[in-house]
Amino acid sequence: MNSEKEKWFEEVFQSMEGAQKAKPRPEVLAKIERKIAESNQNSQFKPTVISLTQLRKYAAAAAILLLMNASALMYYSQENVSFSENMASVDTQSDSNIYNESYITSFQLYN
Amino acid sequence: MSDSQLIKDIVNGSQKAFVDMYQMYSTNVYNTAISYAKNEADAEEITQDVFLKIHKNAKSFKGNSSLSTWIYRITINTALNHVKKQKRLTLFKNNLAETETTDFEHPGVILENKEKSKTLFKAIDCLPESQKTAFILSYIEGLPRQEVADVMENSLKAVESLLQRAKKNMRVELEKVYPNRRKSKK
Repeated sequence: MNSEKEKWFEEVFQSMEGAQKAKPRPEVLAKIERKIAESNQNSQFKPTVISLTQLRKYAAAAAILLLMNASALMYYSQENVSFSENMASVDTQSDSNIYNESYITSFQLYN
Repeated sequence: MSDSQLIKDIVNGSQKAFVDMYQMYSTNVYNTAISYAKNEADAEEITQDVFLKIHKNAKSFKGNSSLSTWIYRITINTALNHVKKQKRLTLFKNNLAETETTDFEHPGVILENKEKSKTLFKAIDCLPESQKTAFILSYIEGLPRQEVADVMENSLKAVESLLQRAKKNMRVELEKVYPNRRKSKK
């Protein structure tokens, strides 16, 4: 029983003995040649490759430009705020002067 | 024409050299590929990929091994990657490919061995990659053990051990099928 099983195992292992080798269809070579021709054509029109270091430099330059613009904008807006605040304080001062003057004048009037 | 001359000519763009090389090795490539892929369409795809790789990387062939060994190495790597890719795809395709591969019938097998070879390919499927490669190259491609060792970049002893372990593992699988075979015989 066991020897019969062992014999069968061995027959299975050797079952490809004497088998003919499988061959690809003739079209396969034509397909390969077409693909090679296509890849040769594509390699003629290679896109420009930007290296990672170059890309980093560009990104750094862009970041610096952005920062400079942002700080300039912030500085400009702060300048505007302080200017308008100054103007406002000048205005209130002049208003209070007006009121004061007017108060004085009215007080003087009542006096 | 020597291997190195053939490769030199391919590097220099000779189409004739490439066709000569294809005629010399396409059967070995396809036969190995079909043992891994277990269907003709995939084996053709692997064959195409292998020859495209050979054409692209011909420059890198240093001649440290024979051209045949180098081509077998490319074939095995391409076939194993292809099978992995197919396995990933089957996860999405409801195991359709699995049912296709389990009943694979090698086109070159002799009539009286057809059933046994089907059983053999089912058992091969259960092997880990290195054992599978050692078995396919030895028992299906019929390469001498030393060439198998060269292709796998292993020692002769390591290949012998891989084959022993492969057979041991396959026996376990064959044990499961054996009772059915006896029933069908009766």
